[in-house]
Amino acid sequence: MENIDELEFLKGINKKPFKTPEGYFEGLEDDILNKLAPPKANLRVVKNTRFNLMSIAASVTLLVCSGYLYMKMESSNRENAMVKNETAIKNYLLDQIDEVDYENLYSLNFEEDDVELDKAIIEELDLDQMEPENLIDL
Amino acid sequence: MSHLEDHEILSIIKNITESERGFRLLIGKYKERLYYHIRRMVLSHDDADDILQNTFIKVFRGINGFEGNSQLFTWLYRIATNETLTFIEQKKRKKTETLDNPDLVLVGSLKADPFFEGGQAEIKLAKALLELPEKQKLVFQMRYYDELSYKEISEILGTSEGALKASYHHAVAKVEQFFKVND
Repeated sequence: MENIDELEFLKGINKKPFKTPEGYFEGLEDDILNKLAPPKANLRVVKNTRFNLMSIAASVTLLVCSGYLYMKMESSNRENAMVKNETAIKNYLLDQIDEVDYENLYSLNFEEDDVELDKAIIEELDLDQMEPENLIDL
Repeated sequence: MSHLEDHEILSIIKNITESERGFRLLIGKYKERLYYHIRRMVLSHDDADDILQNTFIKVFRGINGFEGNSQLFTWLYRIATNETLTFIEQKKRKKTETLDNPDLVLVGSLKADPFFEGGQAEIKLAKALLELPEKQKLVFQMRYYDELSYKEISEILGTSEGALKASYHHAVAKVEQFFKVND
């Protein structure tokens, strides 16, 4: 270190007139490190924020899953409804068929099946003489 | 007080698992020198305490940016000096509205300060220093009280050694003149 210039007019001056409260320097490290505590508090805030973000993400996932399941159930319900409708229509048609006049139907069929061929036509065709193959063509 | 070299303390601080211990060592080594450096500028113990604590907090937050281009000691002094000058400026701005000369009031309060053991001569020197421009006062205090070399002061204040020598001699002349006038 360089020699400090002597200042004659300041001879006798106490260069260390300032004092501190007793034990001030002993506790200083702790005081300063305690003041540095806020960043730790900030870390807690960050952790809380992370926790909150995770909660939000979990909620959104849950919501999406619920929506998907709901849509699936809806689709299944629609299919069931369609099956029910088809069954209902079938039943309705069957009911309608039941109400048809079977006697009329029967008699109609009977009349058609038992149409008597004109005798003249029979004679003309000479059905008795016809080969079975020709009968089919007829 | 820590007997470790600065580079040893720095390597402890930069080791994440031991940084708190390293920082305790750093505070232990420099707290008194920095405290008195600050205290001579602000005079009040409470103010010096606040500024010192803020200084170490800034040191702690900026220690990873310290590249070792200057001595650790001069880097600490620079932070402490800047903190103190900022504090003084803010305090002056607040008090000029109500007081004509807050510095004189502060010097006057030294007489009643239980943590000041100086006599008339020391109070007279404090008054003489108030007459100096801020930079001359700083150079005088670092040279006279802290007994720093011009090279160290140059690193702290970022001023050439030649300019510092000139400032110091101007300061000494003004203080001497003050003592003569107020003898």
